[in-house]
Amino acid sequence: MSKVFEPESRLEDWLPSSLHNTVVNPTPETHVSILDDKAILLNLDTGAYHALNSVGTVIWENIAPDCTLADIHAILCDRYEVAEETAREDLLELVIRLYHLGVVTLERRP
Amino acid sequence: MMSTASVSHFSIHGLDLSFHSTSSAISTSAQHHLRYFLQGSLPPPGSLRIIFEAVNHATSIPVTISPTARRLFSRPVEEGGGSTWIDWPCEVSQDHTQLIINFFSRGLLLIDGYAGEARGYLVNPESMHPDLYVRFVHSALVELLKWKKFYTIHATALEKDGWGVLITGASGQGKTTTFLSLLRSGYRCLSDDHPFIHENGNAIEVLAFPDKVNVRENTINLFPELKNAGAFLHQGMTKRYFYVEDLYPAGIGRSCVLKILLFPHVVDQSTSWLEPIPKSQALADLLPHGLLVYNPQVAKQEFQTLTNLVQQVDCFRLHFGRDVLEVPRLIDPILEKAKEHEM
Repeated sequence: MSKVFEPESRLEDWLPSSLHNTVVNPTPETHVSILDDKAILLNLDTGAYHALNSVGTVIWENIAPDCTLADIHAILCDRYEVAEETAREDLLELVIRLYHLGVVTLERRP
Repeated sequence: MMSTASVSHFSIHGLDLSFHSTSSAISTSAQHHLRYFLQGSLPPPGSLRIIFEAVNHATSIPVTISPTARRLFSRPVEEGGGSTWIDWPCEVSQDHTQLIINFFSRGLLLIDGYAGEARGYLVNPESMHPDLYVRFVHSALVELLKWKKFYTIHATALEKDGWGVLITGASGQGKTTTFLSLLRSGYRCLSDDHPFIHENGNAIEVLAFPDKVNVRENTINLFPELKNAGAFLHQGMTKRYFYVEDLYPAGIGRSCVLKILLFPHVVDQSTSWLEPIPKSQALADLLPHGLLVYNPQVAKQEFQTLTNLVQQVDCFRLHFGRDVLEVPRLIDPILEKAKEHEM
């Protein structure tokens, strides 16, 4: 598996076209509590905590080593009455935000 | 300043602590701050240790902070600031097992949670208000107790028949006023500022840390017993204060199982009301008043304890109106219902 962090390229540039082969991994420093279907993330590295809404929590709960962003996108489309493009934009927006907060890493697979 | 160290033994909810200081002023303040826990005997071997020394100048503090120490927090010197504790320039860093809280010209704390020992150095403590020594001592104590899974939270806490109410939120939003309203109706005080939270089996307990109760003038005016408290109301560094046992017959409790978590905020309404809030919201609102991440493993455990706390309790926003004496009318039925549910 190859780690995705590529300093020379902006995440926002390549990620939208790489959902099918990108996997999200929580960082080891991230600890999570899920209460009434909402996740609270604690970044033990920075000391910051972040609350996710219910859609964000579904995304978080489906982060897994064998689940690409395309898989998570399909789960969102199946679970919510939402246009595919809207779900895709929401997913990308959250994943990019989580990445910049340091609570996930991204892994682009061949 | 004295050259001979005095030793005091405290037992804080079953945790033995020895306190050593070469300064009689610091020892006296620490003994007063921790008077509910003071023991007559010598501390047993293996006690947590807090050692405080008075020094003449910051350059006399025998601690060198390694350039490789990891800086966790920094509050810079501000022009015109620095008159109160919360304004003081401060830098927190981690060097291997040691947490270093550097207050520069005022002093330094060195806390080794692994070893169960904290050392404090105060520069010319005789020139400080005693409340400031207490802040140093309390900070050292809080960091040491975290390693024993006793976590403090910025909140007020009360107990009635073994069941507890925790009241937290930003300053000026009614924590102490809610606390006083419940206290005068027969609830017992656990703490007005920093109770301890501890997991006992499957239950989250709130443990007492009684101290003087600081009150603003507008709060005093809301409660007849405070307006008429006379000599029981003392002048502190910034506010007036009193001791619960001087004014309220129910006095001080020891511990309880927590049942209600309240987040008060003042509203311009005649009547107060409670609004249930989701547990996820309660946890997000609670974290800023409890969790400070210095050591990741300690913080992870504390985060889990706070999560368990929220799961155990009913959580409410208290929209705090002008009927400040009527708060028990809102809280009593919820506590009774929670008790019935447990039985």
